[in-house]
Amino acid sequence: MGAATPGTVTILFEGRDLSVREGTSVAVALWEKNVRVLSHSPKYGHPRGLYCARGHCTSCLMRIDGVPNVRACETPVRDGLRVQRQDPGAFYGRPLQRVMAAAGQVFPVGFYYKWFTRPAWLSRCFLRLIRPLTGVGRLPDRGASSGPAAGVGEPASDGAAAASLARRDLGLFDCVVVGAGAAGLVAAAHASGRALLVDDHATLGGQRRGALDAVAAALGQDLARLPVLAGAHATLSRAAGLQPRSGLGLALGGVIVGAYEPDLLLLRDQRGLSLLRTRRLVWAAGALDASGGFAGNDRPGLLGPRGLYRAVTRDGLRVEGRRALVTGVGLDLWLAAALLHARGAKVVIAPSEPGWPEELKAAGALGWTVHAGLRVEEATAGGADIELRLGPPGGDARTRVRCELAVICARGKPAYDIPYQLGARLILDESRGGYVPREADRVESRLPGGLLLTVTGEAAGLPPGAVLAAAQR
Amino acid sequence: MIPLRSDPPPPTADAVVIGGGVNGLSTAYELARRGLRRVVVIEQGYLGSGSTGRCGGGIRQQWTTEANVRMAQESVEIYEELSAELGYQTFFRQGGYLMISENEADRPAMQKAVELQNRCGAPSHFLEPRDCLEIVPQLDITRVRAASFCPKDGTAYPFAVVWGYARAAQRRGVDIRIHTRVTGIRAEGGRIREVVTERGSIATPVIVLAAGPWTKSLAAMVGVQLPNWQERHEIMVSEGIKPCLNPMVISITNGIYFSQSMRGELVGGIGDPDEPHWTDPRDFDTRCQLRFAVRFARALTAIFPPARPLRLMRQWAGMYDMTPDHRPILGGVPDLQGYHHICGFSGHGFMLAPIAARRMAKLITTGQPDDIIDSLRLSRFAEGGIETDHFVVG
Amino acid sequence: MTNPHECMLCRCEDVTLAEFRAAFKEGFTEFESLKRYTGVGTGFCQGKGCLAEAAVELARLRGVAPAEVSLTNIRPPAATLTFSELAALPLTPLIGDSRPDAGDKPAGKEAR
Repeated sequence: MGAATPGTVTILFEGRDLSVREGTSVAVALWEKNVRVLSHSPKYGHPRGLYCARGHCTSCLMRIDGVPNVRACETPVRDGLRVQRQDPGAFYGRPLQRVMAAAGQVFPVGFYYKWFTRPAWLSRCFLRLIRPLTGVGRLPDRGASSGPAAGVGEPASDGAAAASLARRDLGLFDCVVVGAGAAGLVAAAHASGRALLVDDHATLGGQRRGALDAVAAALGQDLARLPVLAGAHATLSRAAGLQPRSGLGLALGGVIVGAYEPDLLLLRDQRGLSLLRTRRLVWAAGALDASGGFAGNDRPGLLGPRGLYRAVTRDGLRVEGRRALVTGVGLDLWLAAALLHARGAKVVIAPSEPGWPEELKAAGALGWTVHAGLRVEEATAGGADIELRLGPPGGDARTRVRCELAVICARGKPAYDIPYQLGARLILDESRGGYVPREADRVESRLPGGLLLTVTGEAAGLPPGAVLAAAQR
Repeated sequence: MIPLRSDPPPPTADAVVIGGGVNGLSTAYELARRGLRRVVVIEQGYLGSGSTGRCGGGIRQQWTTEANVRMAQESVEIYEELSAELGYQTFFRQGGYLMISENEADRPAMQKAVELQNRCGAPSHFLEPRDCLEIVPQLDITRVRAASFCPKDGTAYPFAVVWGYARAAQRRGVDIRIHTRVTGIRAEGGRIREVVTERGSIATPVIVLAAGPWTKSLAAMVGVQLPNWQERHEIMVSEGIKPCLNPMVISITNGIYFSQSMRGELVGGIGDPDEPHWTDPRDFDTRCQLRFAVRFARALTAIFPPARPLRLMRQWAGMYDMTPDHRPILGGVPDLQGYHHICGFSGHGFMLAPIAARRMAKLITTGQPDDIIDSLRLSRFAEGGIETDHFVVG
Repeated sequence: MTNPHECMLCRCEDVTLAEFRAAFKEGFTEFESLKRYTGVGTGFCQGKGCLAEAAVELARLRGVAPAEVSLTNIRPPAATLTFSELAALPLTPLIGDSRPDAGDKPAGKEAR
């Protein structure tokens, strides 16, 4: 390892020293070094890159410090960190993967149940042949720590390990609010008794807070030219001004990593894992990025808006001078574009829906390239770039955009796993973006085990900021 | 496969099998193979939604009673050919079962069990703790005091077995109905007459109850009292990693068992002696507990240390259908013609289903007595002198 | 317009939209079996990325309203948890067991 330049650290990537920016995640550090492929998908061997940036998906699973399947997006860089890609040919081996990727139709779904079953010896040979191909990632190195250095949502490091892995029982709460966005802050302001507010960000305000602040700071007076963002910023500033009442416990940088009926929650924060129980749960955990249903929707270079916010505001993703496309719908379309602009990217914006007259004017004034009324039909990747084919619904005026980063702003999917695990009955409501409680927003329902549950904000399928706006009326 | 449908089941049948798990489907398949033309299977959920789809998929011959060893051996013989027979890959892989004990006192019992198994022809052998490392090099043998290994034991993927049987049965004309609940069974004049479902009734001279934990309440519909009770058992899968564990490892001391699936996941569970017993389906509780995850993780990391940084991806619970001697109940009852049950496997229904089904189908279609079914008749509990198997684990 | 062979429904297990539809055509019309047969939602993210999308597609294939597609089970945990983390946690009582000493037991009953 050479003497490091100030502000950089040297990681060992695929066996070679790589000097990267200090204070960021492995996935973002590699992206900045033009390493776009972090893993390969198991069946088709598709290249995958930085995607959700929040420890939800599998696209950045790497072998880090001898431990398989570690999320590079949640692992901070440090000197000497060993980072490797894993099994590019997982499941079928590269040659067969190439055949499958080129002609997936040749292999019918579940072919391994139906092919090579007779006679019995052939079936046994087939199993022997495919067994070494199963799974991704090899067993941890002997003496490897039980996890990489802790990022939010990932296990705390071993070494200091066993001790820091808390054997903690935080006891019974009267109310736990998960999510410190606008909806969660409103709920927390009204929470009584022994209450706890949990959010995986380091600050209050939710998933868009950092991005909105960065945009407001960079645009100054110009923010008013983008009314959708000016409105959201004002709303969120008011929400952040809601003083959580004294005595409210805060677990910032914390994630509820599991729930067990009737009322048990498992919290992971910087101090490790803790158990807690609660009488009331306000689920205001927001929504997750949806990938969008187009061909090539798993290519490296594609990101959701929430992934972008996290990568830029938490990990400091550097995009100066990079060409970036933002397409899709809603507030996030404009926020993602403005954030990229604020950080010096060359922005191409392609709103998929009509409207936004003021914003479109501003986009032109800010120097963005605008393709209105188009949606993504196909994405293809090559080198460090991604190419998107855009077209109007039902029309055939195609446009191709080549960029380094493409942000797909689809309607967010309400987060629902913890309420479900506690026994909540949910329904699939396409108009609200995914799985939501049958009851309307903010109706408290009693779960079978006795816990009182309220689902609110984007997690209830409401547009961002709607709860706060309603509360203020 | 078997699509959802809401039309009524056929009004008449030669036999109705209640339960769409491995036992019900294999029995329906074997009945059709023996020439029964109109067999109907009724399943209340999806195929394998009861105990089959929740099980660990293990198949072993290491038992302490001769009847269990012999049944398991026959089952293994069927499993060895099953993918070919059904034309469906069951992912049956003979990685062996490594049984370990942490008690010095278990050594003679394990040696005796191996002798019995060898006498029956099962190729198991007794192992000193250090010999275990040749089978699983990463094992921490510090606390192991005795072990035995049978290379012909193995695992299969429960859903593949279920789908394979269902597809093969369907090709032989079996009518399988999922998401259909049985609401009544009618008997008259000492004979089975009719099965009533929520979508319509089926007149039939023969029923086979193979509904796992729900069998007891179905049998009660025609006045048959089963001594069974039910227990919750939890199980989990880890992330999938490259093959690193060949056999199923199972401890008769603390009840942990784990193997590596054909997707690379570690699949395993651990029994909890404090779990309550149930007999009423309304009480069945298959909620997940953190307690299980913690107990399993403690036991796993102790015996298999490289698993420490691996992740538990998912856990779930299922029901064991238990009997007083931990052995299945097969056959019928003397005063009710056409009635049959296949139940009480006490956590081992997946491994014994193929043989139970084959023998039961023969009994049902030919009426010829069967020694194994006879030894597992319901009346054995009233007659006394039952023999318990000591290797019931998990 | 979009090639369903190139549209990824489940990124973890590499299940395309075309494969999901083909499995439905084979008769896997019920979500739990369809999930296990195709692998949708059974990978490292346990369905965070795909279950809602898959359910919407299934409703479309069945020709019913999305609300009529029953939700497939989401089991704990909700994020990755290592065995060493879990092993360090205190033992909780069995569901429904409110005895004060129902958690960690003295040696003998506890898995070691």
